Amino acid sequence: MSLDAGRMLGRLAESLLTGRAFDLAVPYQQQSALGFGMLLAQIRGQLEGEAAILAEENQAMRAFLKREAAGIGDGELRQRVEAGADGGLGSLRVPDLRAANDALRRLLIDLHVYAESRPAERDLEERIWQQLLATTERRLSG
Amino acid sequence: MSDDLAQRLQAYVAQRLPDAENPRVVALERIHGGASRETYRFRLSLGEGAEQRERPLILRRDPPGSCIETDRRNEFEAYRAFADESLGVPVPEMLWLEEDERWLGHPFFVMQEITGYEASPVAISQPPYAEYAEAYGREKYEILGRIARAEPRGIGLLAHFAAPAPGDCWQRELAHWEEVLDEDEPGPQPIIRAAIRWLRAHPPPPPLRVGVVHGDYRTGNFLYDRDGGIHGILDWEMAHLGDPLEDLAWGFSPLFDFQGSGLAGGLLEREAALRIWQESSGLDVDRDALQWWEVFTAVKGQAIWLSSGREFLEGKNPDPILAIASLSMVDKQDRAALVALGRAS
Repeated sequence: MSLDAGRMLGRLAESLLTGRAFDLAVPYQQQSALGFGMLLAQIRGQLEGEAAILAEENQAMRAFLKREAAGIGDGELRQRVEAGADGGLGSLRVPDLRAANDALRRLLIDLHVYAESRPAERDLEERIWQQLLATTERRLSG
Repeated sequence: MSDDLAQRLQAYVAQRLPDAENPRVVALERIHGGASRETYRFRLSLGEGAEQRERPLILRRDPPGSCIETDRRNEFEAYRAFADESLGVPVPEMLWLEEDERWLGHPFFVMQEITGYEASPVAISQPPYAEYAEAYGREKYEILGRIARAEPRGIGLLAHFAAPAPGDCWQRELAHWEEVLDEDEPGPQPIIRAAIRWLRAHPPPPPLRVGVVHGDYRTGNFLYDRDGGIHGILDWEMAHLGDPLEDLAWGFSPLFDFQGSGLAGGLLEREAALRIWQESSGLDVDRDALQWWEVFTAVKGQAIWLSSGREFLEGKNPDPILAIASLSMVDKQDRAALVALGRAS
């Protein structure tokens, strides 16, 4: 394994924020360089936790969909939810985790629409909101 | 690049002011401000020797891509509509709008630079400004009330802005921002899509008055002094006619309380802001309608953050603030949507 790419990104951000940006004479360019330094620092922070957050979120969503699948009255939707909940951890590459996350979030939207359209599914709707809140809190604290 | 731009701008000014003596563009420099258009500061020098005088001006030029796809004419006309000081809405004077691309490569407009004041949404909560937070807040909501009170026909805006029927205000805005999301979202957005369904299922009552909506009325979009005074309302690029509650709700977004103070825009208790706005606008606030517009604010905000990130990624606008805003705001906006919907506290 080569050197830690995240640390390199952090070093690059630090270099811009504490030195190189101030070498630029034009104020607009200086502010832009500082902006890029902040962006790099932000990206570093996100990259380090992204795989873990997505893997955890995907796992939680699959578990949720698995729990709810049996109670879904719409056969076509139930089949899709069951299939979506069935995946394992799979690849840990961020693009793969993101693709899986998109598919799961799409399923969650479909399930939410289904629950909203049926007065008898108010409890399910409530659980979906709780799931969405938990996901948001996880992302914000990650 | 700036030298060439200065020369081209100078040629433009010369044809705009054919009788002016020796008009020159001096000290043109690009500045940050309003990511949707390139912004430059310069001084217009007229005359010679003892007769020479200078005026600080701002050039706003369309970039190849922008944070928000807005009509520059709308922005220009909105500023101009409030030029009458008796309206009590401080705005810079607008000089020229030019849509012919031969002059500067892209359409642009030129306006007065109001100098000597601060605009930062962060500095306002720090010394020497912080002790005047309530005073800024009071004036902010008094001015917003005056914007809501302004009669669109009387200030000449009906010639430029489409006036929706009162009952259509919410539908027009929601349809617009939903379309932005449809085009720009990088992946499914379960919270914002649920918010959109909620908005359609719970339409607000028609507004008491179809008025001017600034569209981005928040801390950070006005110029303030060191004594609690506001001297310029900026960034009218999303201005339109609609329900005045839209502006009120937008400014209440927790994302614009940059220090997490719990105050409206980081300045004032929410109830105090409502009271001041009601007195100034002459309108009562329907609490259910306000909630509708607060949920809408989350949808609009998310559309802006997501499309900002997309424009940066596609190379349409290289300003890092677009990427920073997109990366840092999306999850916070989701949470704000949950709060507005009563699903989180």
